[in-house]
Amino acid sequence: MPLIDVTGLRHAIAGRPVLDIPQWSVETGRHCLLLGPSGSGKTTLIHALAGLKRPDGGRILLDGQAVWDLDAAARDHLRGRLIGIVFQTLHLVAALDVGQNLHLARWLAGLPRDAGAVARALDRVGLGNRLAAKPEHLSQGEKQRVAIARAVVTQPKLILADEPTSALDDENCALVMDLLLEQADVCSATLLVATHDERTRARISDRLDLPKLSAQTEGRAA
Amino acid sequence: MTILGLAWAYLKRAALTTTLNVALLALGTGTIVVLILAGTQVQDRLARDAAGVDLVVGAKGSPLQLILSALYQIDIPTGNIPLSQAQALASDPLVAQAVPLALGDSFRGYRIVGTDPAFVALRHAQVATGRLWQAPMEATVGAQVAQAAGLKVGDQFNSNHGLSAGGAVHEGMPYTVVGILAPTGGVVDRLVLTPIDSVWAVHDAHHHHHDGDADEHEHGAGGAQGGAQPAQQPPEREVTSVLLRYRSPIAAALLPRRINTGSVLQAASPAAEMTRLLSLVGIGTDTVRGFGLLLVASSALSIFVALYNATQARRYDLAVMRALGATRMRISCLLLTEALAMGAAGTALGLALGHGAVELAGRLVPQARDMGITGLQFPATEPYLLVLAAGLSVLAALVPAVQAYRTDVSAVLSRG
Repeated sequence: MPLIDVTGLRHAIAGRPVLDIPQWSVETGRHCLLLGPSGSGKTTLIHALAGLKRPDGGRILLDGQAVWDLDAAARDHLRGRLIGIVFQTLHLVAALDVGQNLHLARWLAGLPRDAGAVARALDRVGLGNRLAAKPEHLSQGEKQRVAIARAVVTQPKLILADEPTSALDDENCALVMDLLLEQADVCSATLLVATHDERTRARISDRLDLPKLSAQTEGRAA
Repeated sequence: MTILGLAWAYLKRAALTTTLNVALLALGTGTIVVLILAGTQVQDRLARDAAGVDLVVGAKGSPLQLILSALYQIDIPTGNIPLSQAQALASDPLVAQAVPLALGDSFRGYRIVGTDPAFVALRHAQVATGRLWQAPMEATVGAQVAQAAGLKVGDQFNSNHGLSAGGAVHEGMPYTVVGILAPTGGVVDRLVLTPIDSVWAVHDAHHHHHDGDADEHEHGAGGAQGGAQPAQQPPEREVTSVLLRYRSPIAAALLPRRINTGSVLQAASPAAEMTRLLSLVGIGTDTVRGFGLLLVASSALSIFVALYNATQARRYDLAVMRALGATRMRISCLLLTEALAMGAAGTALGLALGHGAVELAGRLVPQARDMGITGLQFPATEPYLLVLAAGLSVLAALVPAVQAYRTDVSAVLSRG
C-alpha cells in the first residue's frame, strides 16, 4: 500500500487552476521531490496532503485513509500522528524554549511526554546542549535544525518540507538536505520536499513535476 | 507540556500586559470586596445598635439627627424635653419600656449618658468588673473608655462640659468609677453611664457659675435652655431623649403620629431613619461600587485587547500548532485558559487585597476598630465575584477564541 495515493486532484485559486494531478503515489520509505516553478501549486499540494487546505476535487489517501473524508478533529489528529512538517520560515514558537518546542509537537500529536525522545532528537541534529535556549537566541542554522528535530520527534511516517533550502547558500543547502534525509531514515519516514531549488535534484531520484498551469498565477498560496 | 504550561509560557512572555491586566482586575475586585465587607459590617453594626428600640423620642428637629444622637451617639442632640413628658410616655399603655437618656457632658471626648440601668440590658451589655451605678456621681464605663483612659474601679474623673473633648472642666464634682462593662462591639463601649441625677447635679452646679452659656446647642440636659425658658426658677428637670419599646404592633401605627402632632416632642423610628440614611449614603457607596465595576469591566476589556492582539501577533504560532496536529478546539481552549488564568489571578489578588485592606483598617483606623471591622469575614456574595470575573474573562476571550477557531491555517502559513 502506498503511503501517499492521489487521484484526480484538482484545485483552483480565484478561478485559475493551480493543481491538476490525475494520478500520483509514493511508496512507504521512498523519498520524492515536488518540483516546479513558483506558482505551480507546490504549497497547495503540501497543504492538501497535510489536511490543511481542502482541494476542489479528487481524493487523497494517506496511509490508506481518505484525508478529506475525515471530520476536522480526526484530520488534525491524523496530521499530528502521521506527518512532520518543516516550514520554509521554520515557525518555532517563540514563547517556548527549544526543548518545549519539541515537547509541544509530541503533546499536540497526542504522544506521551518523553524527555528522552526530545533529547535524542536534538542530539541527532547536533543541538543536545541547546535544550533550554529560546528560539530568539539561536542562529538561523540552529533554528533550521530545531525545526527539523521538531518535525521528526513525533516519529512521523511522512515528512513534508516546503522549500527548506531556497534561502540557504550551497553549503547549508547540502547540510539541510543531509539532515532531512538522515532524520527521515532514522524514523523510516517518507520525505517529500517541495522545491524549485535545482541543487536538491541530485539528492532524491523520485520526482513529481508540477507545471505552471496558468500564466499569470503568482498566487501567494501557490 | 500541558495547556496550562503553554498558557503560562505565553502569559510570561507578555509579562507587562499580563501584570497590567491582573492589577486592573485586582483593583476592581478589591474595591468591591472592601465595599461589601465594610458595608455589611457597618450595616450589621447599625442594626445591632438599633436592636430593641422601636422609637426614639426627643426634641423637635431633624429626625435623623435625633436617631444619630440618641441611638448611635454620633450627632449632637436636637435639644431637651421636659422630664414630665418623658414620664408620661413611660406610663403610656402602648409603651412596654421607656429608657430616658440625658446628654450634655463628656469625658475625654466620650459621652457621659445619664440613664437607667435598663439601658445596659437594652444594649445587651454586661458588667465585666465592679457593678452598675446606683447613686449619683457613680459611673459605669464602657470597655473602650476604660481602656483608653486607663480607668479602674474606684478611680475618679472630672467631666467636661459639652459633648466634644476640650469643653470646660466641671471642677469639684468628680465621678467615681464603680464598674466597667465588657466589650460589646457596639456604641456602649464608648459611653460613660451614670444616673440622670448626676447630670442634673453637675449642671445645677455648673449653671451656678456660668450664666448665659454660649455653647447652647451642645449644652445638655442639665439646666434650663437659655432662650426657651428664661429665668425659670427652679429649672424644670429635663432629659434629652427617650428610647421606647412598643407593647404591641398597634403602637407603631398610633404612637409616632400622636407624639409628632404634639407641640414639644418628636418621635423618630430608627428603622425608617436608617433606611433613609443608608439611601443617602448609598449614593456614595453606589458610586464607589460603580467605580469598582468599571475597573473590573476595563480589565476585562484590557484582557480582550491583549488576547485580540495576541491572536494577531501569534497567528503564525497558532497556525503552526494546528499544523503540528492541534485541533481548533485546543487552540480556542488555549486562549480561554490564558484569559481564565488572568481572571483567576486578578480575582484572587483582589480578594486578598480587599480583605487585607479592611483587616488593616480594622486594626489601624480607630473608628473602624471601634466598630469591630474585620477583614476576616467572608460574605456570601463573594463567590459571585469569582463567577463575575470568570464570566468576564471568558467573554473577553470569546472573540479571539472564535477568530482563532476560524483561522485558515493554510493561508496564514503560506503568507509566513
